[in-house]
Amino acid sequence: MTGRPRGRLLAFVIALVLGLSACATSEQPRRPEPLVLAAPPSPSLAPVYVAQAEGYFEDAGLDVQLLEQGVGVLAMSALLAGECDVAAVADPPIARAVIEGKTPRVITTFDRVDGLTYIVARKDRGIETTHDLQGKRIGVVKDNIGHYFLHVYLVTSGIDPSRVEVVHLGSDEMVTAVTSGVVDGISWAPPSTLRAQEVLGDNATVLERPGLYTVTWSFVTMPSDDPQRQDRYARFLQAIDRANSFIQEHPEEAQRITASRADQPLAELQRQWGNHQFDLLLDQTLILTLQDVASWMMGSEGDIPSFLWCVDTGPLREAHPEGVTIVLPEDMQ
Amino acid sequence: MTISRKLYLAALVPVVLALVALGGLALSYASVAQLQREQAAVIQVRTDLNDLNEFARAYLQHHDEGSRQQFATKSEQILQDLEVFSGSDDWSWAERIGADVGQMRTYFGDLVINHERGGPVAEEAENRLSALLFIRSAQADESAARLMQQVTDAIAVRQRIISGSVAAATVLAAAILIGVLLALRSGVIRGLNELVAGTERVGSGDLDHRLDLARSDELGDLGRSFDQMSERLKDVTVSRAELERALDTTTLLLDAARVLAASLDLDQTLRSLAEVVTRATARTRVSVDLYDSERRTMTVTALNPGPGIPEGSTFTIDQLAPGFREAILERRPQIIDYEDPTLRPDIRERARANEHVLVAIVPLVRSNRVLGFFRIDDPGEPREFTRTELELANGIAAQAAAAIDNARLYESERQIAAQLQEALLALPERIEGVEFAHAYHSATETARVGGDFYDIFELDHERVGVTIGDVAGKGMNAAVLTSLAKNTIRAHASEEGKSPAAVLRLTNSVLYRSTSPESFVTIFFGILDRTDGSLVYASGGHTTALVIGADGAVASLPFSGPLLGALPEADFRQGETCVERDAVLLLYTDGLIEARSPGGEFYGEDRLLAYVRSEDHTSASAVVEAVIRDVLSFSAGRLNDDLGILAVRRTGDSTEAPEQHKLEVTLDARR
Repeated sequence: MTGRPRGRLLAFVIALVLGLSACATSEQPRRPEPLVLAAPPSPSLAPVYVAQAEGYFEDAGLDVQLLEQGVGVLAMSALLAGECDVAAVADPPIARAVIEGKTPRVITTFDRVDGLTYIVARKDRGIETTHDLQGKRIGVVKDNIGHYFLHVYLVTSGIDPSRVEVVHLGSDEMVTAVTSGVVDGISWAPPSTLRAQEVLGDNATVLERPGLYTVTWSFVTMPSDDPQRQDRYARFLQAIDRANSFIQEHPEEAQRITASRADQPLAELQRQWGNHQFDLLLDQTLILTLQDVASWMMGSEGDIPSFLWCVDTGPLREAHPEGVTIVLPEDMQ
Repeated sequence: MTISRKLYLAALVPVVLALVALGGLALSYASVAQLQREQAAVIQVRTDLNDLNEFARAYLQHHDEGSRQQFATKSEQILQDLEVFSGSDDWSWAERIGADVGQMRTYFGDLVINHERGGPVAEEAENRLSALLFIRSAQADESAARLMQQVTDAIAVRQRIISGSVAAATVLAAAILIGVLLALRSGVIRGLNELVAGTERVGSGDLDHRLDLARSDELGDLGRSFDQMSERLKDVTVSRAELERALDTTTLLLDAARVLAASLDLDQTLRSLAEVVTRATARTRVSVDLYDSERRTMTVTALNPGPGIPEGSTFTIDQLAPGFREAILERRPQIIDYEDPTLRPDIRERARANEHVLVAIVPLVRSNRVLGFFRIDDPGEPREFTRTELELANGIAAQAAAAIDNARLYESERQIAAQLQEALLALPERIEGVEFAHAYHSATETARVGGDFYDIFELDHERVGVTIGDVAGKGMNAAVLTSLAKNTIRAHASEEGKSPAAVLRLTNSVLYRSTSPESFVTIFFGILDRTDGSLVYASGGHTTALVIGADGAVASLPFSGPLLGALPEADFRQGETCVERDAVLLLYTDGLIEARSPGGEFYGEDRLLAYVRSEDHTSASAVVEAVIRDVLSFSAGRLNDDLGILAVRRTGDSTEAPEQHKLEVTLDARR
């Protein structure tokens, strides 16, 4: 064999290898996978707002569509109805769903906020103090955080809840009901409470007790063995985790983003900002909280269900493994 | 910077680094200690949280004051334990724990109130509050776990930093120390090498070498001290090079002395001188000129080699460059630069023609007399002369002058001696009634003047005196004694009636009075009557004379008496014999019979007698020739003593006598 043919063969091999390498490394742009998140507007959704604003979802290969619901209960309903992939809800909707035999799966808690819920009442109805609530009509969204708070607030104040007329309202009825005088007050959280305060002005009485109730927000999915779906949840949580870091490093920017999305005045948001603990966690507190809320919901009727079954640690172990400290039976891990 | 200061600094570098590292370590360990205190506090908090739960449960069960107090105390203790975190960078988890515990205290307080209140609402409140309390407790424990992890991670990080810092500081210190030491070593070694090389050069004799170390450290000081020492050594010590030069000079001078002393021939001496000077100075041209101080002329006598003024050229001093006059006046070498424009044009012109540029004129001085010069140069080249070169040339010149003087003296003495010898051995052209032949050889080269002599002279019409003698000693003294002895014998022999014995007695008296006792002479003296052949003779210590008859018979004349000149009075026996017609009287000195063969054997009288018997003796010259031939053959041409032979044949008639025959003795040694 002469030198020239050998050189040609070598050049061909090199070109072939380079070509194959280029094919192997030239990935097609990955098409973002859709993910529908149902959630009520809330400052607790700050990580979601930041992740969207900063493009973290796109970076994770996700096209997250936010399906806003007026209240967490509706978001949970949307999840149970299959209208969304993930629901962002507080404890009561989860407890209710489990009590009703549904099988939601908490893949992480993402915010714990203290002092979120309080009562806005009308002074012209004679409500100035806690004890003035007796005999009054207080509007709540059934089985939501305001409802739970009202109960705990009353009993820990020594007031028999039966001496307060609880009026179940729709989430979109709450503000109007109190401002129009249909009810004497409402128990809930911003932004509805803030709007009611704004309308009532000096006629508003705010009854609150910081530290009494810490609301835990969770991302909830429906059970699935589909690994692609689990992977999508994991990437979703990775984006949220990045957003949490952003919130830590750029709190003012995060507040600005959140204020515009949660329909809250920035100043009020900043005042409350310190009460939030944005962190991806699956710990024992979740179980205790859900049990407590379920116990309130069920009263003396029947046994409190186990909430260990409604925890799915898989996505969080992928995205943020140090957040998983919950102790589960071996066959649930 | 001095080496000691560099060493201090080199030692200081790791010390400073170690101090910095130790300071850093101390801070780090302090930090770790704080973290470890925090870690211990967290552990305690978690334990206390557990206790707090137990107390709360106990209270919920028993509603006792003890549990309530324990709860209050324990919760207070937890809050105090958390104080350790007040100085931490990240206080958030501890703050959460504190907030949770604070809230637990609130819940617990509400629990107590509701319990004391009683009733179903209070019971419901207790349920809610207890649940919230345990939730808070769980949150607090979760936060404590996070805090524990955070503190443990921080400790691990700090310990890694400490380990890394210690390793880095150690490596850095070692690297800096090694670098500094290497640099220092390199500098010191370089300096030491320069010192060693310099000291070796100085030690080998080069005292002009200087270290010149451009250093500001101890090695520089040492180098400067060494240079000063070399300078002082140079002042008081002859360097090896100088010793070698002196040795070379001495060797050359000895060589010159040996060569110049090898010959007493003036011509040969001058040529040897030219060769010696050429060899010693490595100059390509040397000429030797003899100086006539009376006529103030200089004659070129020997050239070696090359172009120049031909041998035999003679110049007056006025025709030459002023350097010649200065050399004569000052008796020391002069350098003539023929390109000096102040020189006369004719001198410069002749120098150009002879390619003289820079010439050293070295006078040959003997007893303050200038015998001549030798000139050395390199034709066409202005090569400078060194002091050593001129000193060497001057030394050779001194020896050459002595050699030339000796050669001249020898030549003069030789000429005188030759004339004296000629006079002493002069014999008459012919004597009627006898035919005679003779030969003479002097053992000494000096002027060829030996101590042997012979003579033949007419006393009257009938009688002829015949003498042969041997004077003790050589040279001029011997010649003088010979002359005295010969002429005294002639004088006394001419006196009327004086017998040979009387003549010798009188001669002894004269010689004794005229010379020192150690000067003596052996003499055979006879008076031959040409008509009847009678020979009366006497001998004073001389060898036996022979009479060789016409028939070849040989007779010895053995009588012998005392040496002449040794004693104030001496009597000599007298003998008488007859020399027949055509018989030959053969007289000789002891140089003949004492000649030695190469084996050391004497020639001796027996060999002489045997030989003359066998050879032709028809003429005196034939006898002399035969004897000379035989003794030369016997001695292989080497005669170590003076030799004189005189042969007289009595012809007895009145016809014209033949001329005397003088034989030249040619020896191998002289060839």
